[in-house]
Amino acid sequence: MTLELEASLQVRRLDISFHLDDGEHLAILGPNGAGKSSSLAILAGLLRPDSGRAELDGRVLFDIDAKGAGTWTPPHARGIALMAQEPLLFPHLSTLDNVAFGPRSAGQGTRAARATATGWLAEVDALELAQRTPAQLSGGQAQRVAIARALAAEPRLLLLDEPLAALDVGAVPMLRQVLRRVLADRAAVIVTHDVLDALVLAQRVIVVDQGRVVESGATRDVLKHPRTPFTARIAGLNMVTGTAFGSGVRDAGGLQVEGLSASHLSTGTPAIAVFSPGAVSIFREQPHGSPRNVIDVTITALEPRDEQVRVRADELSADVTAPVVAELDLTPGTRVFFSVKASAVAVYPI
Amino acid sequence: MHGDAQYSGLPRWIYLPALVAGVFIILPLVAMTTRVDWSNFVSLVTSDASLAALKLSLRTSTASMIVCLVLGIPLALVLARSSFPGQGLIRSLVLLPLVLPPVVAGIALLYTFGRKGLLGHTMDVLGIQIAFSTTAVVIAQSFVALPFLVVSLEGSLRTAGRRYEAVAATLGARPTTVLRRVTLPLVLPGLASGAVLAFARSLGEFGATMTFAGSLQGVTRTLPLEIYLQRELDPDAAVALSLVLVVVAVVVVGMVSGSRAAL
Repeated sequence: MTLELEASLQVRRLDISFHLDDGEHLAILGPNGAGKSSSLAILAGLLRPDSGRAELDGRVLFDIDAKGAGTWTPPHARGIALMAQEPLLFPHLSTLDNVAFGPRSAGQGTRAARATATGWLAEVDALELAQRTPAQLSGGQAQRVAIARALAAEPRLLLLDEPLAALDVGAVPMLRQVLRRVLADRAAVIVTHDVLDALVLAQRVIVVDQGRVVESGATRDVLKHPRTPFTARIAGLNMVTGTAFGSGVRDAGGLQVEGLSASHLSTGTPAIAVFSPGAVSIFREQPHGSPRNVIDVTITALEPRDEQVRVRADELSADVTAPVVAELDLTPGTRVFFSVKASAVAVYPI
Repeated sequence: MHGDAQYSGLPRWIYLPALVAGVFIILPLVAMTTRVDWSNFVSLVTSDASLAALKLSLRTSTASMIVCLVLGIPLALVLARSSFPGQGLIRSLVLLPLVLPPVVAGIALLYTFGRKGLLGHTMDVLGIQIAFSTTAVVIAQSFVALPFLVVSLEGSLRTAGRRYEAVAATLGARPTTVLRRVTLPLVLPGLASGAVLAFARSLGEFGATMTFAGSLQGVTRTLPLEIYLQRELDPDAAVALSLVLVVVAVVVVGMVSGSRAAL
């Protein structure tokens, strides 16, 4: 599977181009209204660009010249499934028949299509939901069924438009693991505003702003060395890369962080622990008797941003308010303790 | 939440004209019911002429409803889902039969399908004679009832939106499959209430039928025409038949509000 896309659409101030290699996952990050969803809609065939060209596996999806004339493949003939923020399960069909919709449309009989659908429901651990109607599903369950429905259509390319954004916080890590598992051997483009999605689900990321690609590269590189203000704002996550032990991660320097993992990790396998600077508290004295991760660090820099101050200590950072900085008398060179709850740390295999 | 718990913001005096309006609608029906000759009710509504009219009304109204479905569904889909020049004008024109006096509709139909009408000669050549036949009744009823179905269905289509259809297309469904398996099932409540309204409007149709189809027992004399005729000859029969139509209307309204509630 290879994908080439270049498209411009004046009314949405969009002028974008990107490509996707075989089996690759691409994450599209960017502020609201940047043109991320429009790009997906153009790929899916739901939105017609003023001009541009797209090719999937050497087959032309559209090829529209500057005058707006050219070829256009309708959405049903593209082999591209689009999953939106909301599950959009057909309310009049059972869960099973929702998933069977793709196979049915491809020409399978009712019975065969239901058998196919059962397999895909099992794939996303939703087999027990088969006979329910969409109204009887929770948000997380509905989104799992929507994933199964998209996969059952056997698309050559899967487009995911903020697939986890509308879910309860509690349902997100589980579903992210499901996505990671089912996407493993298929091409996908994931629009997200959550850096974690990009980290866990995509090898490569492009950052879109005002309709244009402003950054692109390997996900971890882009997030570690952000070059645009937008990326800098959303990146800046604390990442501890190393090997798994129990439910945590230990890096090469011996730093250990306990966290929560959606799936079991065997000790010694490569893993990453991710937590937001906002989840970190700072203490002058080592806190005792708390179930938190406590990391002994020396402050290297203080960066005021908006209403907060980002306290950096080498690779790690914490966001605290200015009064806290004053009260604790934090200055570069001060030795302090960063503390973060295990429940605020997400651990993923890499 | 229960409606009473919320602040309504209504001035108190408004309940008086509202009450008058309610009474205005219900009182005539009650008045008519008091005049029903209950002892002869059954024989009045089962006379040959009454039964023939009732059967004809049910048959033609069903046929009109089917015509409205066959022609109205595509029209509503095109109006709701596509855009073309002159769409606004067409949408207004479609509503015309709603406001047109039925007798005018009848005259217009006569000059379209009648022997001397626009299509009359062509039909004569083909050996088709429509005016003053049962077919003419169905045409007259369909003409006045079609807007009810189109308006109801178009509203439902707009409310349902296109997002489910877009998803279905990306799952590989061709446009006809999307229409059959997604669009129509989603607007089924609106479609059902539109069909029931079209049926009801056909059942009550009088002016266009009278003008275009005439009043021939068993052929074109539907229930409203029979009632009008009996009003002169046998007022008791007219009242009894009117009550039958009222009951049918109440059932129809109940079905519509039932399907609306399911929406």
